[in-house]
Amino acid sequence: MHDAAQGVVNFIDLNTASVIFLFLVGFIGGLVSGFIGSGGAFVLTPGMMSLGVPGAVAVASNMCHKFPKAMVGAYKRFKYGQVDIKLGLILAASAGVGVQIGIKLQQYILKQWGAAGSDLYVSLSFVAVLVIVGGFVFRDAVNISKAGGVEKAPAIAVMLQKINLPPMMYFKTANIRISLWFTIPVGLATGMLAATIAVGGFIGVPGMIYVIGASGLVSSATELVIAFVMGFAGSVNWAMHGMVDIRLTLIILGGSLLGVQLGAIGTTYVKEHMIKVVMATIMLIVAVSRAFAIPKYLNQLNLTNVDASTVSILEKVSFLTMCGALAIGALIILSSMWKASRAASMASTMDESYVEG
Amino acid sequence: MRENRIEELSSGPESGRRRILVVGSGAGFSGEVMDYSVHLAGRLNYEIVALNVIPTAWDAKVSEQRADAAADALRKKASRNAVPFEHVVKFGSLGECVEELNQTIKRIELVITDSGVNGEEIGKEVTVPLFCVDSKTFNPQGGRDMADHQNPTNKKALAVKVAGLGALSAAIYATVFMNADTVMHYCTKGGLYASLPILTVFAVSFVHGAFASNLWSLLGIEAMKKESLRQTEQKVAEKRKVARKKPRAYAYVNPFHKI
Repeated sequence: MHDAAQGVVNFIDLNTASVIFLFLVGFIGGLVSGFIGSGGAFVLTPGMMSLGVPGAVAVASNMCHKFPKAMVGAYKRFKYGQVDIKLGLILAASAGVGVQIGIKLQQYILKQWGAAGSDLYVSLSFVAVLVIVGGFVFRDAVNISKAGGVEKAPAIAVMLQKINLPPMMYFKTANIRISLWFTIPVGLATGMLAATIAVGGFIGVPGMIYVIGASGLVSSATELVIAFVMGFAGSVNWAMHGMVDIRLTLIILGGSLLGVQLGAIGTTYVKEHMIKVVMATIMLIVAVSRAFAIPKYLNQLNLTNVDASTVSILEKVSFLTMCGALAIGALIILSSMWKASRAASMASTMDESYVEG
Repeated sequence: MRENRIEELSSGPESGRRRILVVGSGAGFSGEVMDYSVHLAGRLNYEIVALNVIPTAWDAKVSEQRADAAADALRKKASRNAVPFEHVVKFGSLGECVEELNQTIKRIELVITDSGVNGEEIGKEVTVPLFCVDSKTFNPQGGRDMADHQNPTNKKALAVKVAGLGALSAAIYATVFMNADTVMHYCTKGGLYASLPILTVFAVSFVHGAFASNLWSLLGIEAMKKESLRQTEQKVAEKRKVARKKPRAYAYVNPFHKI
């Protein structure tokens, strides 16, 4: 099977521009995922494809960079006491099942409606999930910042935690006692979304916050554990088929390992609801970008007849909007880190002057 | 020259407030004492009076300057938390100075000192609760607001580490990219050869990850200390801001404030 794959797949030649592009996107994607637990993949995969990398290789190389990045980020945030490993592993197990369901579902759709139908399904689920969940997170983030940074426990999570449905599980770092049964839907949804749009965290993190009841800080850190487990399993699978372009992976990894650590450090600088702000902003902008891509698939399904040049412009706009989403997320993170560190350095110079005095 | 100095104490607008007397050892205040007293004052809505007692044997001018510099740090900390602050420099024996101050400025509810100050001496003269903050236990990881207080030797060791790991990381990258064809040939063979790309990324993530981590440390970007401290500071400051909206005349019309 893998020999066949090798025969078909063409690995691209790298030039300086594409190396710089991948490194930079890797860095920014790493920064964002170190901060909110996921991100970057939605730009990297289409980005690599626009460089001429075949789709499967782009997905495989992306996944192969994702799991070591998540590992490094999770380790860093574990040191800050933000990772709930037990919660991460349990969710990762159900997310693994979710991935299989997602793949089966996609195969079914591919069979029923062909490639364009499958793309339309991906885009629509993208837009639907991102708008609904992103909007919800955004509203919550706005409410919290209005309340001066005071977070209330989400009502659904509080309700679910009260239901005593064995086996009950206690998660120490998250400080939550909840039935195993309520973690499973979160894991399944994370896996299904990961299989569909490659960014499971967009549902995993809000799921952990609003359904399970973990804090934004713990949820985004724990998402890195899920990303590691799923990314590792996925990468082994892709590598067995010989699809991983190790050069692409290493270039992205070069940037993303720098970024993920900075993002992880960033979580200790900012107020906790900033994680929700960044996540919601990125999700909503990505939703807009996916909406731009829909006319193309509708055309392919002969449902609409939009001009070809308009479609190609829309496609470019869609990709640039996604890059914009990532860049804006990174900017919010860096600027809030900068503000916080300036305030803290003022404090520390005062301490210093005492020591010298 | 050797006059005791009290900065507009009994006449200040906030003089009706209860006070915490913070006694520094000689000419300084330890970080722990500063943090503790500022936060306590903020929570209790008290005012801070910082006292430096300079033994008569010391050089008055130099000591006073040092005391001012030290008090400045405390003053800034207090103002960040919106805690009213006064500084007093006195010459003579510790117990007598505290007692004298207790008589002049009134409303001193408690005294905070650090472990370098002889508390017994104060206790003999005054009947105010005395709290001693142990400042000897300095925790190198959590003792400061930011971790970039590394001493120069640490920084040097860090730089060496960054250079070493950077070179190793560069070597791995160079090996892969200079032999890209061979590497790609084996890495894409699939099957058991799948372990090659997986092991490579693991190696890179350890080496390059450690490099990146140390690089940020070297650049002074490190995790910030406990969130809780900042949150307390913020809440206290907010609370004090609200308190300040009270009409200022309040302090002047209070008929008891000088009793």
